[in-house]
Amino acid sequence: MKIPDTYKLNFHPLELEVVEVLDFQNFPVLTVEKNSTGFKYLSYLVQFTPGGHEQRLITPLTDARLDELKAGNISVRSVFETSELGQVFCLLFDEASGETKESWLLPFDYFQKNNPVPENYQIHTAALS
Amino acid sequence: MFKGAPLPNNCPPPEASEPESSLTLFRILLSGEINDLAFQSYRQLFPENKRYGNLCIAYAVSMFTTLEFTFEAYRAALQRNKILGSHIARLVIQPGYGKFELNPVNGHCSCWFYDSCLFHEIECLQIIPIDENS
Repeated sequence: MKIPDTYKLNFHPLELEVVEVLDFQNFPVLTVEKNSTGFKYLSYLVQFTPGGHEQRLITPLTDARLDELKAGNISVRSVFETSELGQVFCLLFDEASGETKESWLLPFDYFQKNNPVPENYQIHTAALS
Repeated sequence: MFKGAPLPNNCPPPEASEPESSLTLFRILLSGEINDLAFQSYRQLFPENKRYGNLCIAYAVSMFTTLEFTFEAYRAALQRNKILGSHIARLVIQPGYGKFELNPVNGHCSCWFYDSCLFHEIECLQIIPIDENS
């Protein structure tokens, strides 16, 4: 997912801790993360980029929405499409250290036109751990 | 007791168990060799990654129940610009090798191997080269 530089932030607004893995196949694809105040975010691995980085889409979500996602009542794609706070971030993490290297805040209309989450991507609730 | 120890608390999870009898699982190999390098967990690959250090599943080795599921995972990784390996091994896993948690939906099996399991002694039924165009 190539993102225009105009959406890049000159600081890293999210300091997140991974608290749950919803999909793992050789590497973490879909995770639940939280910030220092306990607010949760859904984090989706878009791709690996040159230099050993993970590019992830991140959006806040409530516990109620997370329950809906786990129950299969809403899709991963729609969680991002209908972000509760209208915020979709893209973060680049260093795969070796886990440090945040770049942050973008995607305008909602831009994201709607470029949502990379496949429509048929479902979480596999049997693998929750 | 488990390879990669110390593991996080409550790891492997209670849902993981030893298989009651031998089972066949598939593993994507970096090369055609069955050795310790072919069974590295995410944690072993990226020991300094602070994001996933406390997650039990990062200490597991990914295997799959069928060749089709294995190729599916390979292709999904390739779409994300990650080449997982060059071969797929069809392996016979014995009950005493470790604890396993199976996801029947996508065929993914998280495997926490015991220290006593010697990877080079695992019975290998077949090694299949991966053709990226297949």
